[in-house]
Amino acid sequence: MVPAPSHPKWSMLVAGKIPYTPKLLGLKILMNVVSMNLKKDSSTAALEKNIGEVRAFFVQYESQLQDDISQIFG
Amino acid sequence: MSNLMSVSEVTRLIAAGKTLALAGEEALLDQLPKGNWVGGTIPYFIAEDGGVSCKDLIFVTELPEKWHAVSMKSYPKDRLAEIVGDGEGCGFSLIIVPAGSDVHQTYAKEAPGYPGLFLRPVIGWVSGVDLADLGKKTPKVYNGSLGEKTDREIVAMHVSLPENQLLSIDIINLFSPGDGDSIVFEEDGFSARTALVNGEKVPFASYLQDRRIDTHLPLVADYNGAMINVSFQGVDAGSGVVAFYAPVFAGVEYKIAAPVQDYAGDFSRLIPKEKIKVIFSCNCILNYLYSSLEGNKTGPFTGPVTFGEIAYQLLNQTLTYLAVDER
Repeated sequence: MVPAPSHPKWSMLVAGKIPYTPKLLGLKILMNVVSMNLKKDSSTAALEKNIGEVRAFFVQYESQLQDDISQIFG
Repeated sequence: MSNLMSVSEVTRLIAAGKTLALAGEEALLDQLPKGNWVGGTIPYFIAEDGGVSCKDLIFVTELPEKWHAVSMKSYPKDRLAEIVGDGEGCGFSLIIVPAGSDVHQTYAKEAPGYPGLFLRPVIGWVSGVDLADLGKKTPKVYNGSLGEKTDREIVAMHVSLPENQLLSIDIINLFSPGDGDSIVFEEDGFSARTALVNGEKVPFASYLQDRRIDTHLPLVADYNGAMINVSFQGVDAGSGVVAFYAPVFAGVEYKIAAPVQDYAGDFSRLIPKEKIKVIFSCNCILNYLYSSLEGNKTGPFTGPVTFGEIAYQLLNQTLTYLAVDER
């Protein structure tokens, strides 16, 4: 199960504060895009939007990301 | 299945209703009937027998039996973001981009920001021409369903596949960041006059020349473990402009790639160890040239040799592939 957007680990993840190397190419590139987005705009709205994009990827590819979800969210 | 075939052989596959991605000379693709195919121009390929330049055969990627083209569509510059949302229910989109066009530049710069880009695999390539024809002919892409070709739009085939098949897009990139300077650009773009080198703003063309940087080696950025290249197109000492084959992005840290001594040897070490079924792949014309791939094989990866590769976004000097696994 992919945690809700309000889970505090999401904001840590997109801020690069959780040691984590994605396995899927799409997620590697997306995480970089999100990181650059947040360097340009770190407002709460931007943070929520970017968390939403990363979480949507996890929902879409949940079956392939079970190990990643366990690693990030415990 | 992928192979080099004659026009008549490809025509028979089209008549049989096969779903095809094609690559070849314009004069050959022009002869094909309407059908379930998309294509792009290029006369270089990695075939089963190795790299080859060929002007009388078409490289054919036949999609698996139960895969179907939900739709095939061409996208002008102002509608490129729609590629991501079109083809409802499809499993992935295969796109072909004409090199040097406005849509090439626009997709390269803007695709990473398209909403939903990463929620469905987008793979493809940039069509080109015989290097002897650079500046004389424009690269083309074909929408076989309409029998149309263009040098100004991106063509996309949106493909559905059985639910029990798991797709993956991945890359094999022999380049990794070298141990040299940190290079950061202040603006996005296909060219740059200045860069921040270890934090200090310098004229980039002079920097490259003063240090005798080998511009056959790309700039490489580490995207969370994915090595993303930007290849050098040219360095104009007079104007001070350094041109690239893909855009650099502001704020991303690049390094000049470490040299690759043995492409074939390094490549074989990077081929995935797990058994995968490669459906489509393409490799860069710069790898073909700089690493002398003509006559050399690249394992299970055959396909067009391209003027750019697409794995969600535009890539350079990178082998890109689509593979499938049964769940």
